[in-house]
Amino acid sequence: MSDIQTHKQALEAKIGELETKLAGLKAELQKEVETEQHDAIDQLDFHYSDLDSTFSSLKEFLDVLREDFRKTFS
Amino acid sequence: MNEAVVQNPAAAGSSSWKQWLGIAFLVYLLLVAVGMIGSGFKLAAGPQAKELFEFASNPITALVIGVLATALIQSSSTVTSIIVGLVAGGMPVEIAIPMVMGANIGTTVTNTIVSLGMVRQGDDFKRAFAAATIHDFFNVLSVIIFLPLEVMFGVLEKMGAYLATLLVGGESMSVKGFNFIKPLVKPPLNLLKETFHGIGLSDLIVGVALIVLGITFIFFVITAIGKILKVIMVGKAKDILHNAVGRGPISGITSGTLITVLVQSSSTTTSLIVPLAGSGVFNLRQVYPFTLGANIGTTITALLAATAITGVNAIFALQIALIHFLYNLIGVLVIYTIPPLRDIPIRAAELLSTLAQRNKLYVAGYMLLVFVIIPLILIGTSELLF
Repeated sequence: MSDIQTHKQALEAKIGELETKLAGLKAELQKEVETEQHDAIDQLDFHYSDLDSTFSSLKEFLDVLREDFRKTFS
Repeated sequence: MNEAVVQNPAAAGSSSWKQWLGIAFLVYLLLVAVGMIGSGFKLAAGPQAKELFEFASNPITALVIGVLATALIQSSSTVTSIIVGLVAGGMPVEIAIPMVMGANIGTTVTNTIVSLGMVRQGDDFKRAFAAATIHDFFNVLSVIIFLPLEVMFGVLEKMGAYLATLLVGGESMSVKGFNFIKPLVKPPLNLLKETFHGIGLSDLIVGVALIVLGITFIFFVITAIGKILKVIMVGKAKDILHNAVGRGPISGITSGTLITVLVQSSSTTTSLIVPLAGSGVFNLRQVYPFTLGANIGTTITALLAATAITGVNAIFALQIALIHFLYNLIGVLVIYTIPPLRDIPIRAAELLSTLAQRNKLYVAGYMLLVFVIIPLILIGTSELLF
C-alpha cells in the first residue's frame, strides 16, 4: 500500500470520526434546545396575563415612539 | 395556587365541571345570537335583504370591512360568526367571502399589540415583533393570491357550495331532520319575537332590535368563552405544545390548530407564541407553523355558528363557514408547501422587525399603512375597477 493511500485512509477515518462526533454534538445541542423549549412552555401561565395587557402595551409603545420621533425629527 | 388545587381535587373537579357547564350555556347563547341576526334580517328586510348589502358588493370594500371590523373587535371568531348570521339573513355569499378574508388580516393586530409590550427589550422585541407580523404577512399574501382568483373564478364559492350541498343534501339543514340545534334555538328566538311584537313594535323595529342584540350577544359570548377556556385549557395547551417540540412543521400546524380549537381564539394562540419567540427559545421558522394552525383552528367557531341557522338560507350559512375553513386550509397548503411563497412572510417579518428595532416609527408607519392607508387607497381605486 502506497503512502498516499495510507494517508487517504487515515484522513477518511478521521473525517468519519469527526462526523460521528459532530452528529453527537448536534444531537446534544438539539436536546438542550428542546429542554429549554419545554421549560419555556411550562412558564406559559405567566404569559397569559400579557394577553390582557393591550392598553399598557400600547402605552409603553407610544412612549418609545415619542422618543424615537423626537430623535428622528429634532 | 397549584398546591391548593392538589390538596383539594374534589373542589377543583367541581369548579371545572361548573366552568364546562358555563361553556355549554355560552355556546347555546352564541347559537341563539347567530339565529337572532338571521331572523332579524328576515323580519326587517325580507326579500330585500340582498339589496341592503349592495354597498359591499365591491370585493375590496367587503375585504376592508372585514379587516377593520376584526381589528376593532380584536376577534375573528366574533366577526365570522356575525358574517354567518348576516348570510343567514340574506347577505350574498360572494360578498361574505372577502369579508372573511379580511377578518383573517384584522385579527393579526392583537398579537402585534402584545409584541409591542416588549418594545424596550431590544432583541427580544425584534424577535417578538417578527413572530407577530409573520402572521400578518402570511394573511396578506393569502389575500393577494386568493382574492383575485375568487373574483375571477369563484373557486372557493363553488367548493363551499359543493361541500354544503353534500353535507345537507341541497336543502335547508332542518329539512334533513339531522339538525338537533333547531328545536333548541327556536324557542328563545320565538319568545323574543313574540315579546317584541307583543309591545306593539313593527316587523322592521323587531328585526333591527334582534340584529343589534344578536351582534352584542356574539361579542360578549365569544369574549366570555375565550376567557373561561383560557383558564381551563392552559394545561391542555401546554401538553399539546410539549408534544410538538422537535417534531417539525406539520406537528406545529396541528398543534396551532388544536390549541385554537380548544381556546376558540386564534389571537390567543398567536399571542401566546409571541413571548416564546421573544425570549429566543423558539425561532421564527419554528413559530411560523403554529400561527398557520391558528388560522385553521379559528374556523371552528363559524362552523359551529352555522349549525344554528334554519330555513332556506341555512345552506348558505354553512357554505360561508365551510369557505372560511377551506380558504384557511388551502392557504396553508399552497403557501407553506411552495418554498418561495413560504419564505415571503419570513423575510418580510425579519426585515420589518430589523427596521422596527432601529426606529419605532417604522412600527407606527406599518400599522397605519396596513390598517388605515392601504384600505382607504384600495377602496378609492377599486371603485374604478368594479
